[in-house]
Parts: sequence; structure tokens; C-alpha cells
Amino acid sequence: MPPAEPERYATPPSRSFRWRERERPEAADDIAAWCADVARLLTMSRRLGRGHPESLALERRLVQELVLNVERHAPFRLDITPRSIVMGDEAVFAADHSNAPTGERELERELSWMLHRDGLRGLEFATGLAEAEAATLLDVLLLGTPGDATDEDLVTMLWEGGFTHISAVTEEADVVRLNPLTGRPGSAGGPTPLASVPLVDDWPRVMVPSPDVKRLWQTLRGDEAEVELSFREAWARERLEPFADTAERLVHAALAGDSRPEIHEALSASVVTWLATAVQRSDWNEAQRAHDLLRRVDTSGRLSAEWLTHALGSVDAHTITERLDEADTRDQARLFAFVVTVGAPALSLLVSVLAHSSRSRVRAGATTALAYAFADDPSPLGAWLSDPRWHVVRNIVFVLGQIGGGEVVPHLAVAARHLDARVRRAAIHALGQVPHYLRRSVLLTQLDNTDGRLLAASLAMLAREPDMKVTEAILTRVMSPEFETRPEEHRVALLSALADVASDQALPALEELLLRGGWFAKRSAERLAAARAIVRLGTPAARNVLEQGLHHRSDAVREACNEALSQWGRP
Amino acid sequence: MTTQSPILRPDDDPHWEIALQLASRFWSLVRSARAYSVGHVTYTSQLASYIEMLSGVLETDGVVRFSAPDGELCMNDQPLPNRANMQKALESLAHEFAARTLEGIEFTRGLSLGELETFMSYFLPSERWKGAELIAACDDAGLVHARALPLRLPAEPLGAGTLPASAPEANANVPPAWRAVLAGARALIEGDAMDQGLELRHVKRMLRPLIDTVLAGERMVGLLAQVSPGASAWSHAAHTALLAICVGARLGLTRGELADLAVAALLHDAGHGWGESGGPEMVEDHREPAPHTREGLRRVAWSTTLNPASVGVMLATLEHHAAVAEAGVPAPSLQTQIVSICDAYVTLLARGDAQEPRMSPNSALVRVIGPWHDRWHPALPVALVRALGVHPPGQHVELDDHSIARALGPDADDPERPWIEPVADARGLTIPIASRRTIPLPAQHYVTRSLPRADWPHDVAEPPGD
Repeated sequence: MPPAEPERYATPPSRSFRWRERERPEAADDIAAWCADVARLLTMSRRLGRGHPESLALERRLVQELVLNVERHAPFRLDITPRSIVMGDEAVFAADHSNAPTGERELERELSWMLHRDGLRGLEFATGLAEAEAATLLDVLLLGTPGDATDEDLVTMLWEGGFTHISAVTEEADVVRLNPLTGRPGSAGGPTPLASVPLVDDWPRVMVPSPDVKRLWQTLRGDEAEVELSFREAWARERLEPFADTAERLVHAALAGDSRPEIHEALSASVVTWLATAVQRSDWNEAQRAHDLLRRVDTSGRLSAEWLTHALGSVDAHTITERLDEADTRDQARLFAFVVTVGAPALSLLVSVLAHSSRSRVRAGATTALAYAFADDPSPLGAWLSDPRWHVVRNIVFVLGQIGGGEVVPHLAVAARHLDARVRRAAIHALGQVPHYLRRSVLLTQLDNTDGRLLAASLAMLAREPDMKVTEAILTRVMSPEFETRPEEHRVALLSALADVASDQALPALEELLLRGGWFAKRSAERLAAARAIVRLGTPAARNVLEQGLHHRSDAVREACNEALSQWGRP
Repeated sequence: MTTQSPILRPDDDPHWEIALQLASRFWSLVRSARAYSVGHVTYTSQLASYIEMLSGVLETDGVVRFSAPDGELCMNDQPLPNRANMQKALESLAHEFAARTLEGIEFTRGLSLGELETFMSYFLPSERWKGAELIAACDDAGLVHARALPLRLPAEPLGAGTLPASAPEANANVPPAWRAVLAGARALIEGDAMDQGLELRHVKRMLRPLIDTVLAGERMVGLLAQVSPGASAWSHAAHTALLAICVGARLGLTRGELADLAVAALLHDAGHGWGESGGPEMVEDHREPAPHTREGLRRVAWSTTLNPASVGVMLATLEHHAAVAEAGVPAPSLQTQIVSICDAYVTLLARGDAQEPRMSPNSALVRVIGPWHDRWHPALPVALVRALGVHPPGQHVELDDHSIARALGPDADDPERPWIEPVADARGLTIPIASRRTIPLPAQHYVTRSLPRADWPHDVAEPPGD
């Protein structure tokens, strides 16, 4: 019998088993604490801004701690995965939302995800790390992790940092988008034919007597130091030029002598991307400048409206709102001013702010901005009435009410049929800002509503300006067979409203309700309401009905008439 | 494979049915791992039943290899047939291989449950291990009967494998950093990669190794000796970027600045031929084609986002033929001027047709720093000579001992003393190509003159010119 083969896989290979069995090294604890604080710093900086005293204090502390940790534990390497950071066999950081599916926004705000996103797969620390180098690393992390720059990423910034005691292990993606299945460019999967395009010689022909470079070099090198200094100064000036100025210069140069629509279109599309990036960074001044430039390129706004809508609809509004909630009123005002300038394309951004903000001041500002921006044409707001979040719809209804006028009525009519009663109530409330003859039809549809508050609100608004249609509508409902089946409070409300809007034409119906039951009539709120409604009619015929009621065979009718007559003449 | 399957259809080949089952069940194992960790009793029982399923095939065939070399899932190199209810699973499995940069996976006879479990513990966390790392990790774990298969083609930078064999850059001595730039340039300039949209930060990352190599002091400028008439547009773009990096480095630009500059140099001629053939709006017949400078700007504007890097590129595309001295026109940015002077030199190097004979590197340089030197900031011709040397790469020179050598870039401190590759000895005898080595000009020697192109010795490495 052959000897038994040793069990090579007796223990499961899962790392977690090994983690549980071993004592955690001190280095891992130190680095884990540091990583947790870095994650906190990134969150704080995202919400409060980098210049906030709390962020600065934490950043300074983390710089010192990193130097200390490297001094004590280097050399060490941190492996970075989307959901964790691992040091040797120890996880030193695990994302809070580590089970969140890919694409979940919460996961994207985790330290490990932000580091992994741009291709960073590891960070190696060597002994001798100085404070300046540690500060640069923190600086790079703070600049690179928000991912709101389109020309830089974390890995490039680390590379530019020129570290000597920190090295980055990265994964490089191809510049060209490849089909993951075929590994070739293009979506069709077939190989992209690469024709060899020859170089176009686009420099003029020039003759020289003799190619004596050495002689020319002797001439050139005479003032080498001087011209180099002049270059460096000019270069530094150029690099310090604000990006907005450079972008404007580019557009000016591009449009000089070129009136082709294609160039306007291309530049518009390009400026829109700048604008969206500035919005993502919450740099409202730059966003405003980008928008001003866009207006110069696309004066009518027709070329760029769709792109702008798409771009502003794609920004991470949650992050913007977080910052806005912590910002001072001036910053908030800048956003609102920007949105008012941009108009319809910024609607989704502003609505998102309205939906996410936890500050009433911000929400109030957003609704005011929306009301101001869409005062002339509120129709874009209508699209948001189908939003699944009831509070968003309610806020839109509120804005529609602020705008008022006839153009909001169709939208409020839609909102008045919303599934959520809070939205319907807001819609009725908003109809108060609309001329009576326009809102009447919407309000009348609410008379059959089962929500007592809605019915009362609708009746109250209808009663403000009574007319025949309103009277007929209420009377129809009072006289309909279903009236008996409605809740008592509804019946009372309808009768009460009837008294406000009707005159003697309602008297037969009210008398019928007052006397209903004959011998067997009982005391009821409905009977009392009918009697009171007759009192409020205040006509001789009405008084006559009540006086006759005093002689009715039923105690309940007599009591109701008696009580009503005691109110006669009172305001 | 004689095992009868309950879902066999009368007209199905049982071989394929089993293969399809094995593939789709493996995909189920990958999916199950999202709910159960490796080692969990439920997952272990799933692995055990998979082993049981595999055993029949392994017994007869000895191996079960799933691979997706062209995106189509194969078992033992035979493409699996289409089956509507399994199609999604098969495609997903092929995607998984692609995501892990693997050709596929392979199980062989003798596979045990423990081994399969270990294999899955490496295969599943795709964010941790993929490609060569995954294969190495499996090897380190002692896995024999379950293994990941490497891609048949090594993971070269895009396009590197497609360089024409005749191209000088295709030889094995090309530094990897340069090879990557050539490949990237080709994909960007000749393919439709730009028109699919790209982020310039990715282009910067592609150029990073080349910048590091130049900053480390390697004489990459010597690669300009390979520029010849008939060069392609992408090759021109890459050489211009290389020279721009060298000139920028001489001027003391930082890494970040060099990256911006290199991207601008790489894409400066993006407008050539674009309006006629590839732009979103074709140039109409009745209109004159727009100049390539404007079309380049338009192409870049469409292809990427507006940011400091792309503005630099657009300015370079628009203004790289503008001169500083033009009256009433603002001077181009300094970055554009660097691109411009490098473009001029590299273009002249590649000039050579019926109208004008091919010129030597010296002739090209003298035109740039001579008649044209007013086009640029005065520091740029100086920096260009510092980067190329008085005897630019590719220039044949005669030394004081009458030997002939090919210059391959200047000494870091003295542009008049090039690094050389001896071509002919003092007696006039040609040195075999295999014996040529690049060396600094020996201290006891100096260059007496640059040879006109007509006096260059003919050899196989240098096609005859004028």
C-alpha cells in the first residue's frame, strides 16, 4: 500500500484564517491608525475645504506621524486594492462600504478606492523620509484623490512629486480604449486597419550658403546665459497665468479669422467640459468665467445647450452639496447666481442640491434660484414632477407656486394627482398663487378627494372667489347619492363651503339635508352643518326654512334649527 | 466523455453538452464567490461537485482548458457552440479572463479539492492578482493541476507588436520607454483613438518613462538619427516629442512641465488630413480645406476635455507655424515655440524628394538656427544645439585622425564633442556594423569637420541619400 500523500491543503487558503490566528504587529496598528486618519482628512477636506483650520491641523499631525511611522517601521509596502489596504499579511484599512457593489458612490469615497482608481497598486516607504517629503505626499493625496481634475491623476502627481523615499507601484492602462474581449481598439471587435499616413512636410523651403553649425553656435552661445534667464522668467510668467485667461486667449486666437460653424461647435463642446469640471470642483467663479466664454463662442446657446445639460447632469452633485452645506453664504450665493445665469441646463444640478442638502438655508436658496431662473418658462421644472423622491417633487411644486401665473397650472394639475398626499397638499397650496379662473378646474377635481385636508384646502381656496361653476360643483356633490357615503368631516366641509359660495339656489338641497329622516331624524353633525349653512345664506327664504323647522316633528331637526337661529345675525 | 447528461438533446453532440456545462458551472462558481468566501462550507461543497463533474472529462482527455484568445470561449482550443440559455454565462466567463489579463485557465488530471480551493482563492480577488502576478502567485502556492494561462502575446504597450518589421524602431535594441511612445503615437495619430475620446492624463502617463529616461541622462536624442525621408506621421510625432523633451530638459523644465510639453509635441500635427477624412463634419467640396493648424485644434477640442494640458496642446496645434516676429500677432506661448522648433528640425531631417535632396542633420540644424532663428525665443535655438549638439545625431563627422564616425548626441557639458559610433577607421576601412559601439569622443581626438552627405560612407545601416 503506498504511503499516504501528505495533505498539502489541510488548512483553507483564505487569508482571514491566518489573520485570526496571529497577533497583529505593532506596525500594522500604527499604519492602520494613520490610514484611518488620512481617510478622515480626505473627507474633512472634501466637505470643509483644504484651508479649513481643522483640516490643516490634521494634515500637519499626519505629516509628523508618517515621518515617525516610517522611521520606526520602514521599509514597508502598502498594497492597495479597491476595498482595502494591506501591509504584508495585515489589512490596515478596510472600506466601510466594502460590500458595496462596484459603481456605488459610497465606495468611491473610500480611501482605498480613491488610491486604486488611478492605477496605484502599492506604495513603498524607505527609511529616511523627511517631513517635506511626507508633506508633499499628503499634498498629492489631497489634490489627487478628489478626481476632479481632467489633466492630472494621482499617479502622475506622485510621479511629479519626485519622491526619494516613497515609490509608487502602478498599473498602466493603455491610452487607447480597447475592447476587453479582443484586446484591440474599437467596439466592433475587428482589428482597426492602420494605414501608414506619411508625414506632411509643412515647413517652407529655405536655402543656406553652407551648413556651418559651429560658426552659428559660436554666435548663439555669446548671450546664452542672458537669453536663458529671459526664457525662464517668461516661462514662469506663462505658467502663472490663470487658466481662465489662457483659455480665453486660446478661444480668441481660434476664432480670429475663422468663422466656420465647425470651429464654434468644437470650441463650445470643449468649453462645456471646462465648465463642468469647474462646477465639480465647486469653483463658481471659474464656472462663471467658463460660462461667459461659452456665451462668446455660442452666442445663441443653441449649440451648447444639450451638451451643457448633459455635462451638468453628470456631475457628482452629492459632493457639491456637501461642500455647499458647509460653505458660507457668499459661496452659496455664487452657486445660485451661476445657476440663474445658466438657466435650464443647470436645472438637474440645482434640483440635486435641493434633494441632497441637509441645510434649510441652502434649500431655501435653491428654491429661490429655481423660481428666479425659470420664472419666464417653468416648463423644464415639469419634468421633475415624475421624480421618485416625494420631497423633490414637493419642492418643485413649491417653486412652481413661487413662480405662479397661468403657465404653472398644468404642472400643478399633475402634482395634484401625485401619489403622495404631501405633494398634493403642496400643489393645492401652490395654486393659491394662480388666478382663480385658471386654478378653478384643478381645484374642482379635488372635491372628490378622500384626503380631508386636501378637500378643506381646496374648498377654502374655491370659496375665496365664488362663482356659478363652483357652486354647481359643490351642489352636485352634495346632492349626489355618494354624498351619504363620504366621511362626516367631508360632508360638513362641503356644506360649509356651499354656504360660502351659494345663495338661495342651494336652499332646497340644504333644506332636504336638514329635514332628512322625518320622524326618525337624529342629531348629526351633517344636519347641524346644513342648518348653519342655511344661516350663512342669510336670506329671508333661509330664515323661513329654519323657522318652519322649529315646528318639525323631530326633536333633532328642531334643535338644529333652534341652534342655527340663535346664530342668526352674528358675524 | 461518455457521461449522459439529463439535458442532452437528441441532435446535440454530448461532447459539447458537457463542455458547455463545465463552462457555465465554472462561471456559477465565480458568481457564488460573491456570496460565500472560499473556505465556507457551502462554497466547498460547490467546488466538490464541480470536481466530480470535471473528473469524467479529465479521466478521458487529461485536461480541461478554458480560454478566450479572441473573446470567444473555447474548451481545449475548440470554440464552444452557441446555446441561448448559456450564452451570457460564456460571455461573462470570457470577460473574466479578459479582466484578469489571462488567456484562460487549465485543469489537469489529479486535481484535488484543496488545490481547486486554493486556485479559486487566487483567481477570485481580481483586484489583487491578475495576469503574470496571478500566475506567479499560483506557482508560489504550489498549484500543479489548476493554473492560469498567460496571454500568448506578452502585454506589450499597445501597438508595439504592430510596428512594421522593417522599421528601425522594430529592432530589439529599442529602449522600452521609446517603444511605448512609438506604439502610443501610432495608435493616436493613425487610428481613430483620438476621435473615440481620450484623457490627456493617460497620454502623459504613457510619456512618463521616456521623460524619466531623458532626465536620467540617457542619450535618447540619438534616436533622432533614425529619422529618414518617408517617415510616417506618427513617427514624426514621436520624434518631435522626444526632441521637445530633450530641449525642455536642457531648459530646466520640471517633470510635470515636460509631460505637458511632450503631449503638445506628440499631438501638434493632429490636424493633418483630419478634416478631409475623419472629422465629424467633412469639409464640403466647394470650400477650401482648412489649414491643418485649425483642424488640429478642432480635433483636439472634440477629443478631450478643456484643461491646462489640452489648452497647451490646442495652442501648439494652432500656432506651431506662427513666428514670434510676425507684426500685430501675439507671440505663441513658449511651450508652442519649443514644439515649433522641434517640429521644424524633425521635419527637415525627413525632407528629401525630387525637388530637394535629402539633407544631413547639420543642414537641417543650420536652417533652424540660421535663417529661421528669429521665429522663436532666442533661448530656444541655443537649447536646441545643447540638446542635439553641434554635430546632431546621425551626422557623419571626420575626426582629427581622419577616421569617420557617426554622431549620436552631444556630451552633456560640451555640445561640440559628440558621442560617436565609429564608421571607418583612419585608413578608410569600414568598421563592420556588428563591431560598432557608441562611445564618447576620446579626449585626445576632436572633430575636424562635418561631412556633407555625399561623402558619407555607404553601409547597410544608412540608406543612400542624395
